[in-house]
Amino acid sequence: MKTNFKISHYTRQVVLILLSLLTFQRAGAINEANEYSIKAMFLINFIKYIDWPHGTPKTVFNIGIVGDSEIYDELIKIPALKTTDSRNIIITKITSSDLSEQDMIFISRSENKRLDQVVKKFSRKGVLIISEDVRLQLNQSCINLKKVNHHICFEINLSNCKDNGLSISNKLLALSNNKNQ
Amino acid sequence: MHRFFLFVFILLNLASVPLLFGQDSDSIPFYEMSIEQLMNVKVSVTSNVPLPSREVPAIITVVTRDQIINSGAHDLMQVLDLIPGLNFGVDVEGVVGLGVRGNWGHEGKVLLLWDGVEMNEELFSTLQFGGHYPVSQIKKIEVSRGPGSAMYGGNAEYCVINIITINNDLDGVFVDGQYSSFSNVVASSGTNVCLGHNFKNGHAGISTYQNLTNRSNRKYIDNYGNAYSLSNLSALNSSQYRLDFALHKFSLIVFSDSYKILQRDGYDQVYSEGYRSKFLNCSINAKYEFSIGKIKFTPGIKIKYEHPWFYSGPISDDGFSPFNVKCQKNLGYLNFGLDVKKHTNVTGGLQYYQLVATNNFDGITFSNNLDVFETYNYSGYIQAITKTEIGSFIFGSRIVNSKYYGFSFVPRLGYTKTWDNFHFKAIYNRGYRAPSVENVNLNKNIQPEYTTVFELEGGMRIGENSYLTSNIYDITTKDPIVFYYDIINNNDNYQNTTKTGTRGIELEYKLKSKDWLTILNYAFYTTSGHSSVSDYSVPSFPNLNLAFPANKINLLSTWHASNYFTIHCSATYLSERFGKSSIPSIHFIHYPEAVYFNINFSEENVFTDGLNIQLGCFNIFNSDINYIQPYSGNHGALPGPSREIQIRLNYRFSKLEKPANGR
Repeated sequence: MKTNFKISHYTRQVVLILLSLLTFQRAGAINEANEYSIKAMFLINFIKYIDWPHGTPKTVFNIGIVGDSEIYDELIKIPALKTTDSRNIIITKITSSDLSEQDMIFISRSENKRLDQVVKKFSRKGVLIISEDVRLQLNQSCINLKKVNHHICFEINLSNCKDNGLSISNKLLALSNNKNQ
Repeated sequence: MHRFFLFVFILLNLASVPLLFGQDSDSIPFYEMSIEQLMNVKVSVTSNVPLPSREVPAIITVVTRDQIINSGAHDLMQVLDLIPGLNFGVDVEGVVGLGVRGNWGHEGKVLLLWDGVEMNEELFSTLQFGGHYPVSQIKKIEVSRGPGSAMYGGNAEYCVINIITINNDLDGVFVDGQYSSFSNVVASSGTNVCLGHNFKNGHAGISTYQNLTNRSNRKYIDNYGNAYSLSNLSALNSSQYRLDFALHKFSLIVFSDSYKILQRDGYDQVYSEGYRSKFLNCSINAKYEFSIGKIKFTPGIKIKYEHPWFYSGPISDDGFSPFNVKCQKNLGYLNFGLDVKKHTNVTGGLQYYQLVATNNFDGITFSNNLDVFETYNYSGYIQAITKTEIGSFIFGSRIVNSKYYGFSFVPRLGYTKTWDNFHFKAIYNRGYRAPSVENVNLNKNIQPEYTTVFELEGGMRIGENSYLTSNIYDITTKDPIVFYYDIINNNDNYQNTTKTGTRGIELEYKLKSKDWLTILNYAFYTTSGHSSVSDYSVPSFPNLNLAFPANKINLLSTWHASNYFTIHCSATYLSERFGKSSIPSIHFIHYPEAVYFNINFSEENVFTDGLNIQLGCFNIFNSDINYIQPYSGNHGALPGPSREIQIRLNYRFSKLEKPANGR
């Protein structure tokens, strides 16, 4: 097979110029993703750093999604959802009136107006309550996810976590945006 | 060429050396990221926002890496065969192409992007399937049935197959080896090695792939009754070499794909001996992203050198002629994206390319009486997506000016709405196909063709863990460019005919439980209501096109029997099909209904973490798989694989800790 293509002078110049750009780059994010695919992965990662109150041993870990949110579609896409102790993770859409047993609930932005109402129903029941884009100190959720400078970060309300019987690891606290707690 | 690649390689390594030391590794793949790594991932803000598939303004099927790995597939055909609306047919000289929703899409109607590299060759705009493309490198396949011309330009008239591989972000080593056998001959044997390293601001990677596949071990019989065994005369050799480099917002792919087809089936009559055609695609894709205010810009280049359908031997007694045309495409683009308001996103871009084909065979020129054929094309596109309380609206369009055909305009309109348990899409799309180099070379009067597609999709959640999606569509292609072969005068050419098209329905049901994933899909098409091109039609069955079944059903099921052991089964049903013969005594050939079954067993982490072993059997009951010619070319059906037993080993070493949700 003949492969002796003639690479034009122009082409060679373009390649060289592009390659030369490599040396002038600065630090920054290496990847991008959809907001809710990132948030979904945050939820799954939180499980590793939190101890739930002891009770009847469970075979599954339940995550409830309150409100219409893309996070549900992203969570169910994650392959082979399991906790570190090999429990299956079940993702369910729930309503604010649904009091089914959950280990974690995510309250979507669309429900923020009814946040207090929803939180009340799940507080002090050993449930990790996660909100998005709210002022954490003024409400009763445990963790709040927010977008800062195009990145997702989180803040923890330790007092609310303790009220719900949840123990937060120091590592998660260190990574959170509220290092003063 | 080798020197050139060496040059690029050395440069890349030199550029990366300072970055390989003293920097922490950032971890990808995405589903294995820790919290620290997730905090470094930027939220995407451009047009390419990966909307949930329920909201994407297209009829789209996504195949994940898990599905591909669990299926044991060693060939892209095995994966695409399980997608509703896609079917394969034979062209000429052992080349197999794709049909979409009952329409032959082989030449310029299906766009295949491999990490953004266009795999369609530029002379006839075809794709070549069978033992081609390293399936084990694939991370995700998005198949969008319906025109993508407004976003992607030419070749995207019926379907876009967008493949994303692990090469962009692999941080470690992936090695894959597979061997499969028919009863009497090797079916497929391949190796695949990928190395990647993520450093603080970027990524570098290299991969190689080598594969030998035999299309079949059955007999090919032409329409005159001549036959030969494909056991040793259907070899498909494929190799791919690739370099990846990304630094901050700059990324580069240097890519070489080689494919060789050994064939004796010719155009209509079996040849006296085998001939080997070669396809070579060498590409360089580079892009850089930057923002000015809220607007994100992505300028880039795509340079492609090709040598498709290459045969350099003398004219044989069989009439098989040399073909030696090289092609170079230089493409530059500037894309932009911005969020105009919180719920409105606008993307767009400008693109220019120059295409130069050179005939290297002495004494043969293009129809312009020159050794060189040159064309250019420039285009602009824009798309806006706005989310409102009553749903999302999509407005898009592309305007194109090409050297030979002047201006074309293709619009795209869409509406999507999701509720908790339902979703709805309505899409109007227009696609186009400008004639390719050889279309023009063979027929100077050939004109572009246009396709209009209407699609409606609805979906509903049934219970907690299952989802049913259904769509109906109507496709009309005006002035279709049709290839024909005249057996009396032994010549081939292209012509615009009047209209062709299909309409139909596609259903998909997904059921996911703790350890099971089951997918059932169904596709139906009819030519009813559309005028039919005589070269594609079956007179005794006026609602059918040649080669493609009206009904196709796929059932896929994956069972995670334990944390490490997975069983994957699939079955495909095709309703009756028809082929055409130019011999009056035969005229039409009937192919009865067919069912194929596959099974694959996977054991993960055997002996050590990351080492996986698979054992599979494809076409368990040894059914006759046939690739039928979808037009009047008087070519017999090309046999596909018979029963095939496969063993496969792969190993993935990643620097990442196992994820919390990982198995």
